[in-house]
Amino acid sequence: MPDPDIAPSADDQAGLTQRLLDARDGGAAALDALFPIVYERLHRIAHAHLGRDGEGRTISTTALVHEAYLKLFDAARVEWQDRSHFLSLASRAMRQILIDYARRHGAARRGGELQQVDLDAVQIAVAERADTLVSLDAALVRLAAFSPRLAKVVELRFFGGLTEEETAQVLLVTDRTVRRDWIKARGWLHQEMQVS
Amino acid sequence: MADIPQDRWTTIEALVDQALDRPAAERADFLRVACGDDVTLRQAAEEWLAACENPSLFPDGQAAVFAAPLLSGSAGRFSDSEPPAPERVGPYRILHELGRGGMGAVFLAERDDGQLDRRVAVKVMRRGADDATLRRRFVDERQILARLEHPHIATLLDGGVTPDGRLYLVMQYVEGVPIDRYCDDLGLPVDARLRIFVSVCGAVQHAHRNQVVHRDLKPGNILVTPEGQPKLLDFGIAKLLQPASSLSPELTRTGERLLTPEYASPEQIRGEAVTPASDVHALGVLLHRLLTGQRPFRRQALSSHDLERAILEDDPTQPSDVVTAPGERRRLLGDLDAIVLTALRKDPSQRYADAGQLADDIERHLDGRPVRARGRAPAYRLRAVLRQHRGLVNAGAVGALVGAAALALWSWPSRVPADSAASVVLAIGRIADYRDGPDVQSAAPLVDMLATNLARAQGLSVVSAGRMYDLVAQVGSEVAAEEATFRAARNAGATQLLTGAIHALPSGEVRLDLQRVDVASGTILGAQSALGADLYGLADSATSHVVADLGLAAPVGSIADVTTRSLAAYRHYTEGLQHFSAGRLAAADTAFGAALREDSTFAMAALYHARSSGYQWRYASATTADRAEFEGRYARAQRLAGKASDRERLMIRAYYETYHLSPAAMAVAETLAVRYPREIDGHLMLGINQAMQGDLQPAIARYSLVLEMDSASMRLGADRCAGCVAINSLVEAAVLMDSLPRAERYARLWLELQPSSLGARGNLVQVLDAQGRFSEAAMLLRSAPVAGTAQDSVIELAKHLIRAGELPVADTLLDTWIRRARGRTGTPLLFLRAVVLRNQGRLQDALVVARHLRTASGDRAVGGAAPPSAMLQAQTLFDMGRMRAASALFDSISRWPATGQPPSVQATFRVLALSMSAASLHAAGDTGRLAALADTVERDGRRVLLSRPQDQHHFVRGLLLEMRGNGTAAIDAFRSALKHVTIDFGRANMELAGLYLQENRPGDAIATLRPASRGWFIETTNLHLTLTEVHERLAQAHERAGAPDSAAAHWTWVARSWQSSDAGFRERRQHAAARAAAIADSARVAR
Repeated sequence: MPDPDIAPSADDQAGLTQRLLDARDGGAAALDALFPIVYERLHRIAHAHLGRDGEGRTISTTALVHEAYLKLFDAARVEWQDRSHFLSLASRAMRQILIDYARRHGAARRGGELQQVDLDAVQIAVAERADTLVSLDAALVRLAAFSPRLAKVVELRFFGGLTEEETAQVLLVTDRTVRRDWIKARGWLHQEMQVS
Repeated sequence: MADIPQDRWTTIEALVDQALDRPAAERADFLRVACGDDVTLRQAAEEWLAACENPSLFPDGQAAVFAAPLLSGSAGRFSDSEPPAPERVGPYRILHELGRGGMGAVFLAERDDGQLDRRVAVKVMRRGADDATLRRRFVDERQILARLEHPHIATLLDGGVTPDGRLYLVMQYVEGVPIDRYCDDLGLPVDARLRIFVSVCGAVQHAHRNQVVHRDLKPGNILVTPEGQPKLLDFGIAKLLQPASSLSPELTRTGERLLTPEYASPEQIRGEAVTPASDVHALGVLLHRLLTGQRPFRRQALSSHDLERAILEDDPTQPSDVVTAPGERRRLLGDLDAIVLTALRKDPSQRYADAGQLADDIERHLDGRPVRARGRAPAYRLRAVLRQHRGLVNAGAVGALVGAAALALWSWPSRVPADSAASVVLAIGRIADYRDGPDVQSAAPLVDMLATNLARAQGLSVVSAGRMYDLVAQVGSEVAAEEATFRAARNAGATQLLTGAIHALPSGEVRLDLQRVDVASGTILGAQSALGADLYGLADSATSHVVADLGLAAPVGSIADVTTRSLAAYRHYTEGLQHFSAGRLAAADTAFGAALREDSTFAMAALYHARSSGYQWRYASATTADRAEFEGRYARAQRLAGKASDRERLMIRAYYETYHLSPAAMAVAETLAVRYPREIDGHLMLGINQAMQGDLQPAIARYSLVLEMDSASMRLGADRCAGCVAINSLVEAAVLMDSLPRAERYARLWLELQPSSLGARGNLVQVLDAQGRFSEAAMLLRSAPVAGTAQDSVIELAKHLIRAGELPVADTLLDTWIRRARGRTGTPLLFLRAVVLRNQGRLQDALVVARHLRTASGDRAVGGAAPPSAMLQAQTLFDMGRMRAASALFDSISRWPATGQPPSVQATFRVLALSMSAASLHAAGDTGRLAALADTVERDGRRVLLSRPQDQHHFVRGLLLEMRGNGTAAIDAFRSALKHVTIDFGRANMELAGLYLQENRPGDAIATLRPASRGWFIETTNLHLTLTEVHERLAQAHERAGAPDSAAAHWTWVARSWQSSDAGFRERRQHAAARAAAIADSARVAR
């Protein structure tokens, strides 16, 4: 079934692409203005792939992000620097989407509709995942307080699904730096999550 | 761990880093040593390090995969701060989410209470029903919207409030594709698009009748079902959800609205009252999009802000201007243009009042009835429309033969007073052909030719033959032919009708008897007979008679002058001429090519085919293939010229020889001008040749004559007509003669004749800059946009900035645009940037650009001769003082294998390259080769038409004389080199000025350099010279001449330009700054 909300009209795409290109000149503020749009679209796509029919299909974040990218923008016009901006946004959006889901899930479990449902092994495992994500997110916030770049690496690689190379391009550092950051970040987060 | 303060973490991180740098076995020891007594530090570092090696709590893989189980589940969950969707809404059961918008989410639901099995879309709002006022309004509005029952509107079925307090709407579920994609995917032709658009208007009109304005019409809200039925969504939703506050809905909504300001009307952008006319505006944008594939507001840098500004301020593009194929253009010209533009008027009261009126006009167009918009099309378009109609009538001459679709109607009866000659609207009716006996044929070709010819007469409006053809067909076959013609003429709005008959005479000639009849009364107003050897001759002769009879001036040129066997070819040819004179070379190229395919011996078409070749308009990024094509076309035209008439042959030769800089050109041009004085091209070619030879006075006279002859077509907007070339040359000639006020007069005249021409504006800007009136020039550049691409305007602006000395701004501007340019289109920008960099003394950077240009264009010979990029590179080396390298590169440029090129052109480049090589050697103190070089340059110079290269050898000899210490003789030599005034300023000017200073003749030095300081034609003149060094020398000269104030101005220029220069310029810059300061100080003291 064709879904008009997921397929933007040609004009929407042109408008968005232009805004992405504008963001290059406009800096952080212009980029932020794009965030709600990216967020919304990514959510829809994520939901379309993962949520519609019940069983979670295997789809990677990378694929999701790239699909959002292709759907939102006219890729021919976008150069790698702008694509980097997009990937950065998308990672942030992805993080927010997933953490929200996790929180909802937790809320539901604690006081919402799920009360009536029997908890079985699968659902316990699912609940644990939600908890992990929430705790990770909190730890990430604390990490960002003293090392924004480490937190960003995690956001890009884990939530955004970016490769080392793509991460390096977005952050304008070397691959090696990204590798090291990734190691340090995960280690630190592991410790934080242990405590909370 | 939480006890550790943030700043400590940074230290710990550093330790961890260093530890990780070491092999695993050494890490523990390293930390022990590094941390010393600080136990907490060491512990924290050790723990972190351990965690790095095994971060087991950190989730594996990617987040979405990890979280996948969370996302699945029935009824969906939402990742914004909304509670999950309700399972039921009223009698509807929610199936799943369809999508999400700025206002809320949409779900697919179905009714399961057993009554109806209908799928619906349920839109649950983000906003709550906590606001009582909002809730009441919501309910009221909902009732209004529910009344909108229309086959093309997704009906609003129900609405209410969910148990958890959110507003919801239940609508008909529509499966479909946005209308723009639908039309494109199916490749619908114009008529089909119009029809579907009319249905959409019908739906909108239904709403308008019910006082509902959509406010957000755009393709995303207009879906087309698989059955081809359009359905409108989201009617008036914006108004429905408007909070009680005063902000307009467009400002309070996020996401969707701001995405597409393209469809917003000016009043919506300004936040003013929204009326049905606002919907009309959106429909206008949509119609434009459907007809042309593009949006009507296309400013240069289209950020959302700029787009809004464009909607508020810019004129929309005219649909027929946007499409490129001639057939498409014809289809859109006239009616559809006017309809779209009326819908897009800035003032809502000037648009169609509602969607119904818009639909009505489109239907009139589809029926072939007069369209209301034509009477209301804004005046600023009048001239452009007139121009296009003129061309259309010409091309339409043969339209009847192919049964062309409705062509434009020439009639503005309401605007023209009834009793002037200009109010004659002439239709060409039936011309009976009795040549082959009593059975009447219809001399359709003659009708077409008459229509074409007469249309070129000034002050006469002629109904196109194609239109008449269609109108007659519409009248129907039961009516007698004569009567049908009359009715058609009346329907076309003609006031007079030409009819007649052709008879054969015993002598073999043909006679045409014509009557001019008044359409209203049927009385005969005039009659003529014309004689001719064939139809062409008849058409020509009859035209002059009719025109004389009407008291009008005879049209220039005639059909009989073009030799071709094929009327089809002729049709393409005239079409091509229209494109050509309007500057649309690509379209002209196609048209002339088509003409040649119909008639391969059509010499004039071959000439214009050559003149329209891609090489002409792609010069900066042309390839060898382009150049070869260009040469081939001209060669073909030359070959065919032999079979054509005398006049055509001369014309072709004149163009051919002139373009190839051949010494024979002058003679041919002279013959053409003398033998055929009514032929504009002859005079133009003669003027050009005279100017190239340096004979400015006669050239100016010639150009003025051309301008007089062609001012009519200039006014009609033809960009490339002879008149434009002439006036451009006049401006240049005046500048060369140092007569700037005169140049300005010409430039302003040009702008007056062609207000939207980029060339005209550019010229005036140059003239103003040349006089130092930079702020006036800047203001002119900021004024109304002109024809041409965004990049053209940027180039114009950049050149102005360079001339005004605003080098950093120019640099930034060019840099930005270079990044945006695709492929080879950025080449002219790169060239200009190199000019900027050299003027700034940033030679390293300039060298990089030059190299970049060389690799970007490959080592292909651009333009068939040495690549300009190589010249640039060599010149930059010269500027840097790397004389040997420069000389070597110049030498190799002079030896560049120039394949398939006329000797004259080749020689020009060699002369230039070798002279520069000589200059490099001279600067390096190596005079060994100078004498030999001078001889070579002299020999090559004799093969060239242009004056300056012929004299260039004097420059080289002058260098030699200077080396030998013979200053006076050197001055004479340089002056010989500069004997003929042209726009090319080069090293000769610099050397001469330097010598004058040495000989203590500062006044002469100033005179030599002042023209160069104006920056005329800067992209070429700054190749071997920079403005900055010219200013430096002028400063020196003014000081010697005892004019410190003038000197100070030049010193300041120099210091400013070289602000960020390479180290090599530092001393000179400091000197300039110091001198400027010193002069200023002493001036202050003196006061």
